[in-house]
Amino acid sequence: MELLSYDFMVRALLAALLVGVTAPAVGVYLVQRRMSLLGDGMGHIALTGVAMGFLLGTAPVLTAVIVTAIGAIALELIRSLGRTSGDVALAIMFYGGIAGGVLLIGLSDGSSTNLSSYLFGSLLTTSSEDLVLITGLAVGVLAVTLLLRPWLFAVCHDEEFAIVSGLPVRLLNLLLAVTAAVTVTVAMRAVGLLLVSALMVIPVATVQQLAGGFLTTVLAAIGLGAVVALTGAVGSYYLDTASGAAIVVLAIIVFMLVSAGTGLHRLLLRRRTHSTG
Amino acid sequence: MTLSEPALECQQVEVGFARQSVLEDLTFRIHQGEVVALLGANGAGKSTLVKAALGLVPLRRGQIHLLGTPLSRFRASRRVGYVPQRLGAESGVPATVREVVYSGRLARRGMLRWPHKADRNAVITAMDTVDIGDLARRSVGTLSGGQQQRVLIARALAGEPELLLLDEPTAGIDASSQRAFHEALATLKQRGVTIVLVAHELGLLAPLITRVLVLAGGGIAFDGPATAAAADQIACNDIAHRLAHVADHPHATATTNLWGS
Repeated sequence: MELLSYDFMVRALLAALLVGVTAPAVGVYLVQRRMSLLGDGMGHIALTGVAMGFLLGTAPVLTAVIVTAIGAIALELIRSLGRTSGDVALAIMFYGGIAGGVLLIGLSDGSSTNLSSYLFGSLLTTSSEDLVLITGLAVGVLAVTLLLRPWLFAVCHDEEFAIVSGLPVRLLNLLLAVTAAVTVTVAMRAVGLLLVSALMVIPVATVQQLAGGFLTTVLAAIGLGAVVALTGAVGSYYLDTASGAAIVVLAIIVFMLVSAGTGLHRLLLRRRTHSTG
Repeated sequence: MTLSEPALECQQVEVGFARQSVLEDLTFRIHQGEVVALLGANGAGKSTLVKAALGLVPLRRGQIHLLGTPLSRFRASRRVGYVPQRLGAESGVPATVREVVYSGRLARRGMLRWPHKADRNAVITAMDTVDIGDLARRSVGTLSGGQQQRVLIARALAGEPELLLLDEPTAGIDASSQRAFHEALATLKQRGVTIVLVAHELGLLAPLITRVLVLAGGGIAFDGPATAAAADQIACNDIAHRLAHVADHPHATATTNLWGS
């Protein structure tokens, strides 16, 4: 493997693996709640955080984590308190995040090349410091999503029942929102802010066509996310394209193949039932 | 809770939405071990009463005590089980029967505690009680409506509740699920669980019901044993409701609405 002889490539592949594992681990809960676009909204908010990093001259990943976590908490509070509907709150996040980001980038005089690496992903430029930060955040995300799986499952599956059961529903919802925000910032170097939601949702959507249980879906989606992220990262190196685009296109191809396969399987089953009946 | 303390007590309870009151000045007590059917026409407030008792719907006035404790101070959620009419929002991700039933055990298990043998046994017993043990590995989404309803009942039973509230557990379910539910109810009654269930009619369950509460016009129209008198009262309320519907919808014929066809 000639690829592994380059330090930058090893860092890129490690970052891709971490992102491929963490994004579906959180995404499965968003899909379960039918809030698949939440990651997208947070990606837009994170843009403001990245721009703030440029403006303040600090690490954009750090400011993005803070700003996105605050945005996620605000969104969850708006949703749970019922002040406005969830989709309106999400829309405000979309527009506010983009507008704030562009405004701050203008003020900071940041270069468009730098910004595009956050928008579309640039794994090959992952520094050692980036990797340490991404590793720390990924461990935190996996700890929350895997250790709290039964409780997060209960809340996302039937919130009313979880309330009656006396589970700390608001705390778990806030924790999930913040974890999703952290995942967005972890994943932005690999797939970019505009495509981050895809890696959270597509592996889950692919696997749920085949799996029968929640734990099976979680583990298989994590596995698929890792494979797609690593393969996409290698592919982007050889094709000289943005890593995010390569990873997401590959994930979509796998999704379409699985959809076609399951559709064909159902059709054959139906025909067999008709012929035997 | 001592034996003398009621399992559920409502004192002058008023519940409403917007400007309309659904329940007005409702006062009653349900004692430990009773099996109470909450009957009434559509819109009489049966489900609202159950949700109010669980703290899911705010009270405008009055007080509710659960297992001897005012609702506002009630923290022993593990002692109360709830079976909703249907699974809330249809989940996008598949879940097995065992996973869903296990979620009903979390209140007893506590946060971040590894499951004990007692937890696993409680889940198995809950599934066996409603005869879905052989479906444990099946995805809930692939089951019939009746089987899904049994999953929800098993989920509530997994917490081994002392008080069980069920919102129309037999609505629209197949005959085998009705029989399974009947047997489950008999077992729970034998264990001394207090049961409050919302229903439109008693049907197969009549012999198990110790008391009937009929809601109408925001209050209690009948409170007594499940006898023919109760059945008559229910029928009267139902006819009154249907006639009111005809008055509201002049193009509908009285005959059509009276017999619901």
